[in-house]
Amino acid sequence: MVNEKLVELAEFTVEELLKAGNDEGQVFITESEVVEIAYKNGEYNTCSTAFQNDINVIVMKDHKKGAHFLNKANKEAALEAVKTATEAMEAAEVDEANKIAPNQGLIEKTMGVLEPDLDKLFERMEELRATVEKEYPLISVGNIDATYSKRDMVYKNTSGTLCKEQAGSYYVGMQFAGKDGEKITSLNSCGVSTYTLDKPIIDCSDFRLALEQMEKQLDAVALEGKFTGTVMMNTGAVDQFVNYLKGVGTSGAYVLDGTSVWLDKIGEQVTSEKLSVRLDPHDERIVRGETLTFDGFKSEAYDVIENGVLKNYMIDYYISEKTGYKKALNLGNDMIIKAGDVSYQDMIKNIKKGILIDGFSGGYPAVNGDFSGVVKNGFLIEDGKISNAITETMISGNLFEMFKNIKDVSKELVCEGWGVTPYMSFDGVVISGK
Amino acid sequence: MQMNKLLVGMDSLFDTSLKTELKWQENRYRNVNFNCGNLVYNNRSEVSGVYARVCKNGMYGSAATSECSEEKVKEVLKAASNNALFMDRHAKRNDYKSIVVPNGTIALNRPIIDTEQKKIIDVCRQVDEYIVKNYPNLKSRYVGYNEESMEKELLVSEGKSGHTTVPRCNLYVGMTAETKDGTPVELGVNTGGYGCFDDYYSKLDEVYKKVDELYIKVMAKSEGVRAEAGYKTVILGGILGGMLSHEAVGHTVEADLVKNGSVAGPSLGKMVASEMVNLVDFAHTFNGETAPLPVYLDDEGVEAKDAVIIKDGKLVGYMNNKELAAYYDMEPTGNARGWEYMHDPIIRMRNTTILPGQDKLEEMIASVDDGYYLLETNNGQADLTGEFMFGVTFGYEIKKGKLGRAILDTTVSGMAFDMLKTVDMISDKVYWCTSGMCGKGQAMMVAMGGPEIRCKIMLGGN
Repeated sequence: MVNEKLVELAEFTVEELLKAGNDEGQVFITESEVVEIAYKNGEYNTCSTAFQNDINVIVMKDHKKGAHFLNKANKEAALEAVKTATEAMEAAEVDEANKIAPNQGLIEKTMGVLEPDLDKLFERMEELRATVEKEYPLISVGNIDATYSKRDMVYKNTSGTLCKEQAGSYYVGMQFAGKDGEKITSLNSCGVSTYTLDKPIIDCSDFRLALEQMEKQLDAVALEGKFTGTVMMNTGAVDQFVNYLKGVGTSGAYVLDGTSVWLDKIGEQVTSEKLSVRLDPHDERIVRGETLTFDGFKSEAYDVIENGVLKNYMIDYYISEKTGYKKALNLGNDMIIKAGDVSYQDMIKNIKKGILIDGFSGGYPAVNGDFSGVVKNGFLIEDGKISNAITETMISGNLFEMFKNIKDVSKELVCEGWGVTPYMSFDGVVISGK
Repeated sequence: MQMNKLLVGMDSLFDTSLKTELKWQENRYRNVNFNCGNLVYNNRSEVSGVYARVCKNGMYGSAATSECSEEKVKEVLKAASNNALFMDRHAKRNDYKSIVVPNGTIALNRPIIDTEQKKIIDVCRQVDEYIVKNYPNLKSRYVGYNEESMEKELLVSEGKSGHTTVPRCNLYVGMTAETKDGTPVELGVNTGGYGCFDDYYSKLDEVYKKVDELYIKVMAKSEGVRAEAGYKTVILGGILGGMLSHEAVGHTVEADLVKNGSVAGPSLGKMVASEMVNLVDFAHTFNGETAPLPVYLDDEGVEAKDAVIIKDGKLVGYMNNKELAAYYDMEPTGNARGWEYMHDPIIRMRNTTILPGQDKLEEMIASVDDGYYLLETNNGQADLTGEFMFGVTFGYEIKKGKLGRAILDTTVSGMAFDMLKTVDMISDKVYWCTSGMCGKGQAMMVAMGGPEIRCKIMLGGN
C-alpha cells in the first residue's frame, strides 16, 4: 500500500492551489529509496543509499500555466510549490491549449519487489563478475552497478483523478572492454531491469553475445575505403536508431513547429512494412511500466508505426490541443518492436557486403533525418560471413530512407526490462573507412 | 566561513576512526522555452539535500536524504557508516592507498542571485519578437532560457571545508530554415555562461548580435551541400577545438578511466601529440581572469588546482581524485564532483582547453587546398581507446585557400592520440563553450575551450 501520508499531502496541495486563486491544477508527490552497490575501476568499493521525496505542482488560471518542482514532501514544501507555481503562472501568457486532464477516476497499481534482498543482489553481482572473469578471460570489467529502487507515487488533480502507484525493482548494469596487455577495445555496456533475482544476470538480456563479440574486437583493424552496403545492427543500436526515428519524425517539438518530415502523414506508409513499433506499458516483459502520463492521463498502449504505416505522433495533451492531432496514450518509454521471421545467423548469411555493428556514436540526427557517426564494436561481413573486427569506421545516411530499406528483422527478441527489440539489417548505407 | 546552520558543529558527530565528508547541496533550475512563440515550458525547481560519505579500509559508504534537519544529518551519517560496513563485510580492497591533503577552509566565491520568472519570460519573449520582426521567412524558431546553479557546503574530517557556488545561465536561440526543395535545416546559438541573469540579459544588444549572426549562418546552411566522407584536412573552429579538448583527450586522461584501461595509461610520459599541442584542465583561473566554470573546492575537500595534461606534445598527467592521486603518485587536482546532492563524487573536467599557438586564422584557411572549416558542434563522445566523434552542425568547404559553400550536418571522428600528431597549425586565440554539460554517468556543468586547429580527421557524409 502506498504511504497514505502522501495521499493526504496531495489532497492538501490541490485544496491549497485552488485557495490560491487558480482555476485548476495537479500535483505529483513521490517518496523513493535507492540502494546502489558499486564495483568501480575494477574493485568493489561503494555502497550508497539515497532517500528522496519530491513534489511537482502545475497550476492554471485563465489557461495560463506555471509549475514548480521541489524535492521535499511536506506541507511547507507544498505551500511553497503552490506559491512559486502561481507566480510563474501569473507571468505566463493565455494559451487555450493549456488544460488539466479530465477525471481518470481512481488508479491504483503495485509493481515488483517492495522488500529488497541486498545480500542476494550482491551474490548475483559477484556471480556475474566471477563468471566473466572465468569464461571471458579477455574481458576487463570496469564497473558493475547493482541497484534496488523503490518508489511510492501519488497524483491528484482538480478534475478528480487520484493515482496511487508503488513499485520496486532491481537493475544490474556492467561496463566492460576487451583487454589483452596494452591492447584495449572500445567500452561496451549491458544492463537488465528485473523484479526477481532467480537466475544469473549473465543469462539475461544480451550479455553473452556482447561479451563474445568484445573479445573478438581486440583484433580489430581500420576499415579501408568507402562503399555503400548493408548494415546489420545488434539490439542496442536498433533501439538507438528507432528512438532517433521516433524522435525526429513524431516528437512534440517537431510536430508543434511544423518541421517534422512526417507532418500530415498519419495513415501513410512511411517505412518498410517490416517495421512495427508499439509503446506498451502493460506488456508483461516490461519492468515498472508507466502508470500515468505527466499530464495526468492513465497510460495505455498504442502503435506509432504498424507494418510501416504511421499511426500516431508522440505528442502530449498540450500539443494535441494546439495542433489538432490525436494525443499520445503514454510517454513513449516502453517500446516493443515486432519480431521478423529471419534468424540472426540467416540475417548474416543474407548479406553480400556490409558490416555488423553493436553500437553507434554519432550526433543526434538533423530534422531532415541526415545522420553520420562512428561504428562501435563492428565487424565486416563478406559473402554471408563475418570476417574481421573493424575500427575507425563511419556510417552515414538518412534515417527516413534507411527505414524504407529494411532488409531483415530477426525472429529473436532481446528484452532488458525497459523494451523488447529484434536485430535488424538495412540496405544502402554509406560505410566509410580511413 | 559563512556556513549553513545545519552543518555547524556536525563534525562533532563524525566517527574519528573513519574518514568523513558531509555535504549540503542545492541545485536550482529555471527554465522557460518558447517554441514558435508558444510558451511550452515555464518551470522552476530546486533540488537540495544532505549527503555523507565515509571510508573504512578503502570501502566507501554513502547516504543522502532530501530532508534537511539535524535529525536527518545524524541519520545519513549512520546510514553511510552502515553501508561502508556492509561493503567491508562482503569484499576487500587490494590496491587502496590513502593520501593526506592540506586542511583549511575555502571562502564563498560569489552568491547566487535569483531572478523572478516574469523577468525571464519577458526577456525570452523580447528575443522571440526580435526574430519574428527581423527574420519572418524562417520555418520555425526557438528561444529557451536555462539556469543550472549549484551551491555546496562541505564539512570534512580531512582536507578543506568550504562554501562554494557555481551560478550559470544560458539563453539558447534556435532557427530552422528551408532548402529550395523544402527540406528543413536547423542551427542554434548559446549566449551566457558563468553568472546570474542580470550579468548577461539586463541589455540584449549582445544577444541580438548573436541572433543576427545565427540567421546568416542558417540561411547559408539552407543552401549548403553534404560534406564528402573520408580522411580530410580540416580547420577546427575554436568551439570544436574545445570539444576536441574535452571529448577526444579529456575523458581518456580522467584517472578513473585510465585505471579502467584507457589508452592514456601506457602513454604517460610519451609523445601523444605534435610538439605544438599543450592541454590543461584549469581549475578556476585562465589568463589571469575567472575561468568560464570556476571550481575552487571539490567534494572530497581538495582545493582545486590546474591539471596539466599535455605539455609540448607529451602526456604528463591525469585529472584525479584523492584515491587515484595516491594510486598514480600524482598531486591531487581536486576534480571530484557530484552533480546533485545525492551523487557520489567522480572525476569531472572543469575548464579544459588546448592552449593557443602563434598562427592567424586567415593564414590557416589560405594554407588549405581542399578541406573544410568546421565551426559549430552539438555533441560529442569518446571511449577508452581514444576513439572520439563529435557532431558538426555548421561549417564551410575550403577550396584553394578560400571559404566555399556551407555544409550540412556531419560528424567527425578519429583516434585522439593519432589525430593530435597531425596538428600542424594552432591559432593565437582561445574560444570557450560556456554551456557544456558532460554526461559521464551523472550530468555535470563543464567548460571547454580551444583555438582554431589545422589537422587531419575522418569526416562522415556522402
